[in-house]
Amino acid sequence: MTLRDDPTWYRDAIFYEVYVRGFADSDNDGSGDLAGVIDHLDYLHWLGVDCIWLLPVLRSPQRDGGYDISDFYSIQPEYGSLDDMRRLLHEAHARGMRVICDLVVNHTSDQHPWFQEARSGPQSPKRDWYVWSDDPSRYGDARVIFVDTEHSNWSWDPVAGAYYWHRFFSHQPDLNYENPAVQEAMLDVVRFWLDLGLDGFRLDAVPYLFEAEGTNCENLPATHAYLKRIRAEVDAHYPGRVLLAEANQWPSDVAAYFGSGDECHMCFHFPLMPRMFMALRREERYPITEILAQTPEIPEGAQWALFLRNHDELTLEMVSDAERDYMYGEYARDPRMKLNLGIRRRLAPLLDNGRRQMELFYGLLLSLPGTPILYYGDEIGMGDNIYLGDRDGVRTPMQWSGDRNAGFSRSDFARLYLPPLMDPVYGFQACNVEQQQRSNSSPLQWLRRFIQIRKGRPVFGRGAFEVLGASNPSVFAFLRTLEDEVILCVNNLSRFPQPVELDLRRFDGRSPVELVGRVPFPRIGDLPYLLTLGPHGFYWFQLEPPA
Amino acid sequence: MTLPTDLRRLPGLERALHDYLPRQRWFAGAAPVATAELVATVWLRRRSPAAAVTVVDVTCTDGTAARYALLLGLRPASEPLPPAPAAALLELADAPAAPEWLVYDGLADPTILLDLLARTHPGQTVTGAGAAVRFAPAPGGGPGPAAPPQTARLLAADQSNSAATYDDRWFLKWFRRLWPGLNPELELPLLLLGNGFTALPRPVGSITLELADGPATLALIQTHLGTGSDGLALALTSLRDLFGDLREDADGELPLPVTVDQVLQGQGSSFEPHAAHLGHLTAALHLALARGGDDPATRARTGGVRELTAWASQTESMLAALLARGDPQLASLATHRSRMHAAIRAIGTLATAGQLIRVHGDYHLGQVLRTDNGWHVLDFEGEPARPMAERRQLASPLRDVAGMLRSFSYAAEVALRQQTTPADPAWRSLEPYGREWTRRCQRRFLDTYQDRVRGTGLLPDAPAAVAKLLTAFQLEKALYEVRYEVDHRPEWVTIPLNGIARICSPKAG
Repeated sequence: MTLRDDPTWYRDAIFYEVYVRGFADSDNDGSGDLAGVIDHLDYLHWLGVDCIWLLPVLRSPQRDGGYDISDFYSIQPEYGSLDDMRRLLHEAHARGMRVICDLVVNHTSDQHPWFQEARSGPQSPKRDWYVWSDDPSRYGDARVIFVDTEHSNWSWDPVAGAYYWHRFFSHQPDLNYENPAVQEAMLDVVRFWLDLGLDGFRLDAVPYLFEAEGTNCENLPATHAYLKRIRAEVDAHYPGRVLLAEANQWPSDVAAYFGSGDECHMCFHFPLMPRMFMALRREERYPITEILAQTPEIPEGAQWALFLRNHDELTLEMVSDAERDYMYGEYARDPRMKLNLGIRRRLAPLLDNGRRQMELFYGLLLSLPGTPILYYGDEIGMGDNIYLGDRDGVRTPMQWSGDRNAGFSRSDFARLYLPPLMDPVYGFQACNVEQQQRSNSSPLQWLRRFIQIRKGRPVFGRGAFEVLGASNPSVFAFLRTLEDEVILCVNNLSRFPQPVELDLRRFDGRSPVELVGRVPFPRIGDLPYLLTLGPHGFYWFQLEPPA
Repeated sequence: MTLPTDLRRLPGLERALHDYLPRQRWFAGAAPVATAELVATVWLRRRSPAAAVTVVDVTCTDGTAARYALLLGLRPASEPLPPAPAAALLELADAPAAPEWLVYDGLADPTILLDLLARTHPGQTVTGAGAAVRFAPAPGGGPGPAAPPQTARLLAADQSNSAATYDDRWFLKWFRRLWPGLNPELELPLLLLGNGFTALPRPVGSITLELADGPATLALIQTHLGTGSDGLALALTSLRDLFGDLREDADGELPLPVTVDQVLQGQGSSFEPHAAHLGHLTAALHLALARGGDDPATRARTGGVRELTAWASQTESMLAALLARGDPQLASLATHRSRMHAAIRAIGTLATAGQLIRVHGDYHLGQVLRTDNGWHVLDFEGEPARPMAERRQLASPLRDVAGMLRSFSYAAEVALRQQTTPADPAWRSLEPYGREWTRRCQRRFLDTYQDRVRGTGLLPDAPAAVAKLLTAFQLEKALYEVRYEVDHRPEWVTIPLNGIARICSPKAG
């Protein structure tokens, strides 16, 4: 098998997010590693994954899950070596899969030699690689993001005798992108990994690269200009590699990270996800359709990255205060479930382990305009452990089987980086890959089937999107259209059965064929098209032209 | 085969109208038609399909009279009819000259509908026998469409008017019953847009009939907001979820573990956020209406004793008329009689009625539409059964507010009736939740409304005065509902009667 040579492959792809530490432990030291990922490439291929996104694997003191990089040129030792990375890329490519990796461009660890050198004295050549100040009131309009742990974006460094700027944890000083040397250094990092064969980056925290007084220090023009430089480098020397931007902003601001097709290839659509949960609980489509209506058109070739959950908390930064209170009330009844401005829980527990709700959500993820990103473990409905600190609750070991340590590692239990889930509902005895692969009716098999249906149809990744109105607020119907192919998706957000009448007259004469069983439905005529949906039910139809 | 200039000379037409009119949903008469007289004909097209605007004066055998506007389509009998409901066809079969021409409802003919639209931009006037028809673009409605719509079709008939759509982008609203004067459905949206309120369908064009006794709005073309859900559908969704939870609990025969208040507090599908949005929307609507326009009939003024007394006496006489029916279904009205009298008279003692402004006039959850772009207000024509002069009168904005408050109560009662019947034991356990749902929505709606209008002078300053007016207007609305339900849906008359009971003794629930 070889890689598709279409440079816009990412529009048809299924992404899968891997937390390397928690995925599979090949050397039984209690922590997952790259070799462990290689061991399970066949599983990911079987599931239908096209691109693996590795959470940070670069060397780091690991005070923030690896988002605190101390060396941009080597792999975290317990994860393996550069050779392991080369082997992973080779093995993935041989299966037709790609691999991208988290790259933190905004900041480094305070353990990074650059920072250590910078703090040593005002004359240090690296001093100007970070943002220093004697006055911690500068850039006062910038919000504090990790409100649970940080009180200011400035911290005092007694060694340097000055305050340094950090948008995230205080052990993560921001790089100074005003300095051309920093800009060049980061481009070198990008080239190094792409030369190694990596298929792209998930660019962490991109809105914050530059600062300017009197602004909120987010989405500044200079930041966009630098990202365009990275893109130009990719286009010139590494065609077919992808840049996926993490910009937790409103859709209109995020869209700017696509540039005019000359910045990032993909951006996460952050506000959509909390609104899907809101819509489900309210049994009405408007929280979703409203945010989609506010989502601007994006340049040709650009693509939204969609997700239901990820390795972070379910972020509620991009909702109103009232909506945030609502989400806390509905999905974080226990205060332990909250973190920063979000909810630290996995998909299955958020949906009360409701099988129909999860299927509906995956149905939406796979049919809304964008590229779906699955989070490891969510394909089998893994749970979380809210009694672990920070975001560790959603980063417990992957549950491969009912064996010791969930089949994740043969190390001593006490040596595991985190304990696997062992409760009767979500624990690895009840919920694991092996058992779900054996059962045709399992959530895993169900999801795989729908992934396969999507994969054969570029319309899902590339087609136009149009919401079909219906007076029933609980029904969310939309069209995906690519040239002659028309897919109709009809979703019931209510836990009760619902009827809906759709105005499909413009497809008069076409026959809806349901995509799972290829079941033909009555031909579309001049009258409103009546459908009935079961609780949380949904249909995907292909509207076939008359023979 | 030539068509007469005056359609009265088309044999059998007036006769055919006798049968045709009572079959139409928009026909207001309750008794058989006694006479149907064509008083005006304006030909729009004389080639097939021909089309004429006709004005018909109808008297019924019970002595009631009304004037209707018809758009007749005519095709030679040799041609096929457009695809249209059978009800659209006028049966001229028994006429001697038939079947030379087939006569039908012109609104069912896409060719004629598109012809109407084409005439509104840039506008023209067509003169005929006894009348003229004036087509005009809406002032400020902008130029015509860059790409004119290609399709048109008649939608299902409404009770008072007929609607058609152009490419699902625009709506045509044809007012069936003809009242002399400017229709608020055209007037108020223009006024509101001018005053910065944009959450409504925009008028695009209008068709006016010029008769000897003055102009009358015949039809209106406005933008289509896109499909959405009206407030009632969303309220029922919220209530369905609430009652659904409770039924699941009640079926287990376990005592509900929490209080009514706690259940509503934690309701994930609460309607309260929507009620708050509607409170804002309604306040914005009223503040824009209060700014008025060039026409003196739209300028706000302060209401005083004269209006307060008039409102009180109108409500009193409605109550008296209902009591005089001696209907046993209305027995509970008599129980609350003295409290109602007190509540109605209470407004007579107020110093001021607050501002009198143009109001929506028929405001309830079915008149607000949620789309992907937020909430919108629909249907400014007021109550279609009233003459234009009455509908265009200044009134207290609290009348609209009272309408919405009653509507929350209606939604809860309707939802309850979807779940159960009064004879079912579940009724008694569910009802308090519906009442609490209503109370919370009403309070959120009212709180946000009052927050927004505070300090603008729209309402009387004294909270007690506002409360008294709201009580009186809710009673008036509820009495109106009683009259309607008793005549049309007697099984639902308990809804407004329960409402009256609660309005009269608010502490009870």
